[in-house]
Amino acid sequence: MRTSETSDMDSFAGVREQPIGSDAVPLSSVRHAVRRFRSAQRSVTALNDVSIDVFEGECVALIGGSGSGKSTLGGIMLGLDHVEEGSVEYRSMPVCGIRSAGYQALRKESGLVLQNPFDSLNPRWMVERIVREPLDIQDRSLSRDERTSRVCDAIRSVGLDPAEFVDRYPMDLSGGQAQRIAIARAIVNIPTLLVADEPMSAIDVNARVTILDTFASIRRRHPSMAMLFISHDLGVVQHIADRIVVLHDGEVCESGDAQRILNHPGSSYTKALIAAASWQKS
Amino acid sequence: MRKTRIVARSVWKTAEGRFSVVVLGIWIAVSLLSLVWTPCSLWSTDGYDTWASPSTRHWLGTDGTGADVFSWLMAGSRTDLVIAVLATMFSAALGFLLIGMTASRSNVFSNMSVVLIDALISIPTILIALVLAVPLGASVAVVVIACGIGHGLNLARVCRPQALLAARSGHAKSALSAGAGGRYVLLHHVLPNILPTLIVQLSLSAGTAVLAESGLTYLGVGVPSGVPSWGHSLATSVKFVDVFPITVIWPGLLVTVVVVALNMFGDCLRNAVDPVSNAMLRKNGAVGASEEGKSR
Repeated sequence: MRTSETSDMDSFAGVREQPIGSDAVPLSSVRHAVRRFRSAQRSVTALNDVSIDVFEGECVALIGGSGSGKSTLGGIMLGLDHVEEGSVEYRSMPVCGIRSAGYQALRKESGLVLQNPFDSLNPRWMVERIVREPLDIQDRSLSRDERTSRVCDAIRSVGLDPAEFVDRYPMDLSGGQAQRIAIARAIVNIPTLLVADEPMSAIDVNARVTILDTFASIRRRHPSMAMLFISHDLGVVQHIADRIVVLHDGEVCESGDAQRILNHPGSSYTKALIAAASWQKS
Repeated sequence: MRKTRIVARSVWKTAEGRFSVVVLGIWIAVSLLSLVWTPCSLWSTDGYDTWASPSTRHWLGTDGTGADVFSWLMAGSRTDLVIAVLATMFSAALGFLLIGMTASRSNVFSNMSVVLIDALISIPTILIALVLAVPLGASVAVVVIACGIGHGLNLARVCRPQALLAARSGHAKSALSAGAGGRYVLLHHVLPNILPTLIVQLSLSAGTAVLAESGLTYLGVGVPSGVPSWGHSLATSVKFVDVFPITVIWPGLLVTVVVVALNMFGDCLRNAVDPVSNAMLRKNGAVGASEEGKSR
């Protein structure tokens, strides 16, 4: 696990994470990102001068309230959204447009888990096809047997029995099962960067524990996999994150080692989030 | 294969499904048979035997030229079948093209398709047919193109909301993040999710094409004189409906029964192919979501 520290000045000016005692190159890096959404009536700045690094093998939790820019930043890190100012890199390769080397590498080496499991699974496909999809898109050299084997491995690794689930449709799954299938799809190609966008906010409390266990188990099995865990719930991220980045109104409010942020929050916004999590727990 | 069997069984299970399959089956069989055999030659007329009542020689009687009504209806069935199939294919192609533009990630394409659909859908199909008849003359092509354009626009408009939902859904986003392109998302994520609506709309298009053929032929811009069609049979007899109503009833009845069967078939097929509505397609579909603990 890597740790990092930032000064208060850095925290408010946009964070530049660097592992202590290391000059390691970040796996994914966003520098001074600015992203605005415009409509006929107004313009909303979703991200304003945000910088963040994610290193191999670490889990970075991106937390903040609704509209703070968490999902936008996650989309930008995956190359699914663009920045208007600043830069995005993956493995030191620029991610700008679908022909860029960074974008192409990201498509093969990233996985995405979304908030609503039922929206993220095609309702008219069986589980087997849903989980197999990244392999169908990326790796056509694999034989059908190899793909099936990879699908079964992925389903097994999220704690489900492939024999029972491969020929089911999403509507025959519970919320927790559906989310674990979505995770299985995200990890079937063994990604280097996994982005989980509020994976637990649409499921019940019991299922959340299962999903947390699943993520922990995946991290143990794939120690080099980096994870960007987007959540508004500090109670959840404390169990999984190595590092926390707090976003507020499109700006990095605070960032650093997970335990330091949780035990000694620097900003009043983080304190309010921690208080809300404690109140929820009680 | 298993899925095809289940879909066929699901369609056959309902009374509407059986009725529509039987009617459409007979329609196709008669169309094929008429290529090689009709009870009487289409061109054998008898001036002494006009407006004859049904008999063993002329099962449905004769028309004003003494031609056998049954033979003309048999031969007309294949013209209507060709028109229904071609018009449906045309409207499916146009509709899907417009849906593809609508669901495109490019706002320019998406907005352009909306303007295009809204502008063109206001033009009545009959006006399109009349305009087309100027260069093409009365022909099958006029009916096919006019119906194809009218129904294609309608199809795109009806399917647009669902197509947009599917294109912006989480599963489409996941596919894009895995490296899929726009065409992949359209074919694998948008199309399966609009398929139920598409099936119903296309079956309506086929039925409406049969109706339109009758109407346009009656107006003189549809199937040309001399080419057998149900619309032609109606058009030649309708002036004498007061005197010889039976010659109008037969083609009218055929058109009605076939259109009803097409609509019913569309509904049944929609329910049968969609795993969301057909639990038989889903293993353990009736069991529903099992409890969390069971699978852990």
